[in-house]
Amino acid sequence: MVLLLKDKMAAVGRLGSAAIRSFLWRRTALLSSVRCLSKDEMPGPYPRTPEEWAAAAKKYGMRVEDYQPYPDDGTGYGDYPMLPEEGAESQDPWVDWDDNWHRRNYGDVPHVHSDAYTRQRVNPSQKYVVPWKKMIAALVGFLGFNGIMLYFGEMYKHMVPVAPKQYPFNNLYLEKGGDPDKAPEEEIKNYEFPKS
Amino acid sequence: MMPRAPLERSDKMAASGKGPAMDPWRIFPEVSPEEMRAAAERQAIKGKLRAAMQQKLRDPYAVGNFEDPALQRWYYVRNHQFDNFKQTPKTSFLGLAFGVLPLAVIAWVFYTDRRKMKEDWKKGIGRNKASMINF
Repeated sequence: MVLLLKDKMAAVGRLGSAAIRSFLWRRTALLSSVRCLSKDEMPGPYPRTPEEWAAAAKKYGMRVEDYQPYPDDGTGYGDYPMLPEEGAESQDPWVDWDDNWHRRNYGDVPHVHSDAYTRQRVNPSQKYVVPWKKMIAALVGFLGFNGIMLYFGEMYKHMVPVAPKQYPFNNLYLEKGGDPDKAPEEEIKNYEFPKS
Repeated sequence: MMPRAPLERSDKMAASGKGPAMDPWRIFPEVSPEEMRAAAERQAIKGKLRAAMQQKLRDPYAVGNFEDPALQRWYYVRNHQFDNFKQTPKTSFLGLAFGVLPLAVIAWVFYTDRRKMKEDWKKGIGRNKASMINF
């Protein structure tokens, strides 16, 4: 069947509008109100009454006995819970996490400092093979010894003993432009043999 | 994940042969029943959250990504930290020690060193050899 130009353009137009319609239809998910959290679900100020305490615990999906916010001394985080300091590396790698990279499940309350406790960064709950005090003692000992030796070495310097260079031919008398008539009679000797 | 029967009845069920011979909630004898119950409650909460997530994930008519409210709350807290700021002696001290003091010290060091260098120039001494800052 021979397609005229106008038929082809009409087909292209229909395809284009269909594409735009599906593009917009998929994007309506961004506008649905189901995705927005209300003010009640967001973190708020420090809870003062037991009812606020229980509501905050329920909001974060924790038991009331487990829930403990940071102390309210001006540096706190409102009613965000204070969780034990564990890094992502400390979590069990063999558990089927929802998010295997961060070792975290959906709905888990992330630690406030979880951006510092990722697997590539600090792990506050890891155990060191060498005791901490031994490590510090080794570092301080090594650097301290270096410092002490450098300090006293700068104060009391010693050099390899050096003498001025000795040249032959009367200390190069002629080569330095000395008058041959006024040359010394005895040859200047820069050596001597031991008198055994 | 709550135990299907109260812990007291599981013994009778095991003895009569109806329930499992080994109660999974009694495997660890050193854990007290209250701790076991707390762990069961935590597991129940996690189970509900996981079920909600699975429902959103497997919905055949859903379009696009869905967010995690726990992460949204984390972002909110980290960005609205100043809402919970109070002026106390502790915060004043921290502000001075980490905000004001380093800048003041560095500025004072640089300015005095530069002043000494200019005085040396005027005297004709030349560059202050001991200065490691202004070179």
